[in-house]
Amino acid sequence: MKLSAVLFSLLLIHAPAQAATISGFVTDRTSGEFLLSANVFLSGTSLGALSNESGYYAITGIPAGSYVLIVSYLGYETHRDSLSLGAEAYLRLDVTLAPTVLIGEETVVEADRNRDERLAQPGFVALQAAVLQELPAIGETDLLRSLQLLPGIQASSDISSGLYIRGGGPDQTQILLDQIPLYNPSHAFGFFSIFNPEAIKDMRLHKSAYPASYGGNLGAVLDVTNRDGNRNDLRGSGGISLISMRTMIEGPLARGSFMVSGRRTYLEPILAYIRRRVEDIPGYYFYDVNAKINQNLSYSDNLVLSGYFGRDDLNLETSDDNHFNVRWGNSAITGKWTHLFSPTLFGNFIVSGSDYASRLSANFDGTEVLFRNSIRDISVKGDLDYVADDQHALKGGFRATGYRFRFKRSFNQDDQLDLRLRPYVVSVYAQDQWQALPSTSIRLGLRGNYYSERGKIDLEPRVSLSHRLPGGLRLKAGGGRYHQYLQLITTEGFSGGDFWVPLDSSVEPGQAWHFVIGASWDPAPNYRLSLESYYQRLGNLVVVDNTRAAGADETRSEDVFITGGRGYATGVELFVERMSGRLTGWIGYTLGWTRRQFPELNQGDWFPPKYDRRHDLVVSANYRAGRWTFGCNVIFATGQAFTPASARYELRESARTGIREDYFLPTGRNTARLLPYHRVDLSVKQDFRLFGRDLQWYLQVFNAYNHRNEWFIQYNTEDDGITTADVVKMLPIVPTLGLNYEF
Amino acid sequence: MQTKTRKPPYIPGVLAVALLAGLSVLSSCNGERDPATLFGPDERVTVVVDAVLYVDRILPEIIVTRTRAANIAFTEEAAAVNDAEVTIIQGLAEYRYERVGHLGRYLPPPGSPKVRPGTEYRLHVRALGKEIRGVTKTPGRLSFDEVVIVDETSMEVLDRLEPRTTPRNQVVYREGLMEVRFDPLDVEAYQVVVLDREADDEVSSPPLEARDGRLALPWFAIGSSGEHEVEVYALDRNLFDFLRSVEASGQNAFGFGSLAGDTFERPVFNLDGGIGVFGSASVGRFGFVVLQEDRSG
Repeated sequence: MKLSAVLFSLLLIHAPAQAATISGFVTDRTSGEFLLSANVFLSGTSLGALSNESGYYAITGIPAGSYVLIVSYLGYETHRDSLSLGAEAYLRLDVTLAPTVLIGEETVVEADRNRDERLAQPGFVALQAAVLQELPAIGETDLLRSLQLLPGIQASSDISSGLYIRGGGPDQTQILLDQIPLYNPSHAFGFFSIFNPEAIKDMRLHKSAYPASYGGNLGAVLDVTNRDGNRNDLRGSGGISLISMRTMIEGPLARGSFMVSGRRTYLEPILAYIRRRVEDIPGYYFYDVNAKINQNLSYSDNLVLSGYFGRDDLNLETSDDNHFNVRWGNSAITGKWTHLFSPTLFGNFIVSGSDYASRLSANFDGTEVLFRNSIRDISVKGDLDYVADDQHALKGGFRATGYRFRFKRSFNQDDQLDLRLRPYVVSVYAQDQWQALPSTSIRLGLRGNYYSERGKIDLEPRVSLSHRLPGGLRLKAGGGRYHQYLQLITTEGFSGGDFWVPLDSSVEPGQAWHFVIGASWDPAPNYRLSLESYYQRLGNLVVVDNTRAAGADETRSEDVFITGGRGYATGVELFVERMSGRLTGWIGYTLGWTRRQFPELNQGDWFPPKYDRRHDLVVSANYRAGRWTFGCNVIFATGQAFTPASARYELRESARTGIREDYFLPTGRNTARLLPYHRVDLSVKQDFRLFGRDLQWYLQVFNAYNHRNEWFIQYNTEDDGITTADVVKMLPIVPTLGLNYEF
Repeated sequence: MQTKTRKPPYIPGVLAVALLAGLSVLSSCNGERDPATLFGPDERVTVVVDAVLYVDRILPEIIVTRTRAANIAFTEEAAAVNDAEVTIIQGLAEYRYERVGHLGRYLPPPGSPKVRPGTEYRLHVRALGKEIRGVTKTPGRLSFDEVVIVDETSMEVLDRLEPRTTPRNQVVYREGLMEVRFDPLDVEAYQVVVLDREADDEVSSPPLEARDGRLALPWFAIGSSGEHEVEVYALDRNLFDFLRSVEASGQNAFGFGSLAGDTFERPVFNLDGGIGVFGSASVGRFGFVVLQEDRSG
């Protein structure tokens, strides 16, 4: 309650000064879509704003006079307006921006160094759907796989779309779709993410030191926004790849728009055909559907209803008595009301519900093994943006989420584990974006979380600072404290059928401190160079205790996890980006260290997790020549850590005397490295028209020179007593053909 | 403010050459690695002890071996430690073991007593210049109250078996669940071993917890019809720690964990100066004959 009081005090103490105000929405001219994070500023001043999640901006505290208002957004023509404002004037100015070809001629959109504030936040990355679609991929464009090409983000394997960001695993990254948390963002055991590229409008990633408006996890936040739908024309787009078919339709609807997109594999008939000839081939499919309706209730009110539904299902029946089935899926539905209380006070309010279910069952000769996880949550969320004056942009809000968890494990009809919990989390936050000096911006934030199982409030201060120097150089720093109350149980090899478990009062929630310092520099209009160093200190980490006796009476978190872990991740990231022109792309390099320590693991010694990588270099480039686009990714990284066997010994297999078994004695955990990882992906695309439709065919070649990177080591004992260490390799060259279409 | 820049005409050519050069350099990094680099530093001189005491049986045979480098041939002869001093101590009594044969096997002195329930025993081994010590407290006696066949859904008792070895115990394959009931002991877990007397085969379970003194026996442990025997072992802490941790210690990179990485982890041995197990167990058993399931209906 104290936090709420602080928030409202902050809102009240900044009464608007006697000066002019400009506000409005920034939208795409062709589709009417709201544009997020568009940069709106008055040329020659330090006055400006970014459009918020609903495309709304407000600039206040403007002295009377004449100005040039500039609105810029990457991939759009820059908008300019000459304005003359009197004292206390209010101007409502909605701006529409016309899209340009992001990778067309080398038109420099704006030479002013103010033009794009987005990278001024430490650890922040923003990508538009158009950028994603140009990157070479495996099978089809995939958001999470594309993100793996950025510095500080790694993949665990060629088949995984899981994100390992700045030393944190996928369990430490919160993934939001239209502000709703998704518990399992993968299809096909991690091969693809659930994000349909046709539906994505915008993606914002906070790699660390994320602001007070987010919370609930120790690492990063990926905030994905789907398209609202075209307000002007009925249109559609889609694609056919070797794996799936996807379609998106959008158009005007009453006083707004709608968007529906769907994607489904068509592997089933292929697998069924193979199954007729080869035994033990499973059946498998996935699908996902996104839908959104967007309605303007009045000039100041907008209502959005959106939903996501996705499923994966794998089934293997080897006989009447033996089967194996895994299925999982997310469903989420959201209602969002945005309201303009005044030109400088904007609010959005969300009611949402989501349902995640994961089930793994197997039956071996009548003995059933079952893992079942379900999470249902209902959330109420509100955010207020208030532009107090020319120096302070305040933001505050709350979120209350009630969960219903169940994690059940049974063996042979016996419920060995049946965790049921109904916790809730209430969070409030306040944040001030303070333009302390014309060249210095400070963001101060405080978030408070009350987790019912913990019974106390965790306070999380957040701060970031950005200082602009002459010559396009910007210094930035940030930090904050973070807590995590839900724990993911997954594997590093595959990420299908993940299980989430809330921590109860028997285990302290994970906590982290983030610190980031860096600089960005625009040496030329089209280029940006960014250098960042990060340090994250982690405490109260947990890991699943695999050594529990089956059937143990596990009803509390302390029965499921090894607790008391700590760790750190530190590193430096270099990012050089060419943002527009015929040739676009980036060079990213990360030098990093990640370590963990648990009293009950590795004899209490520190160890690097499997995904710790000293060096990680990615070059990603696209070159457009007329209707042709050529893409290339070059990746070179330190090999992942693994635990080698140091000795062999024989010992009993069971409590009964008799059979003796071969065992390997490991060295310290993850003391050796796989060979360095390297790979080149190539793509070529051609736009063409057929029957009056815009089409594009593409050929993508994953791992173009067929280098089989090492995945893991398997030790085997041969009949002659010799031990062999077999290196299991990752994917070979994988060419894929596909077609994208618009109608 | 809008400006237009022209890129130098040589840039695409330079990029193409750089790409081709990069590709050729990377593809040349395709060599096979030396297999020796896949093994860690040798740990050859670690003493391995295998000793489990069974309640109400005489002191058991103890096997003393050594670890061998992981990438060389492993033979019982090469691993055996034949010059160890092995002693079991209970209270003030010491039982010095004698070597038998050349495979690191040691037997207790003649006339050694039976292992007592709920009693502390200590192990002392001197081998390869090292001293290995361990302590175990034996579990209480395990005796079955009853063995029943219950309905899989209602858990209603369908049939009762004799809680001892007898050919009169006849069960139809996969007809109901077989459940053994007993007074629970103060132990961490139990292990079930199913012996197929006709196929001379055995299947052992992971350590199981028996809530309310009940254990359901999985049908997949029974591979054929005929005479079977079930042994249930009540495990002391040492044996439980070893069995649970060696079970979880996978030998590849897949891990069912989240933050810590893979699970190829050193098992919990509870021995000072060496590795292996010095534990104790009490045992209960019963026998039955499995009849083929009736598929006519």
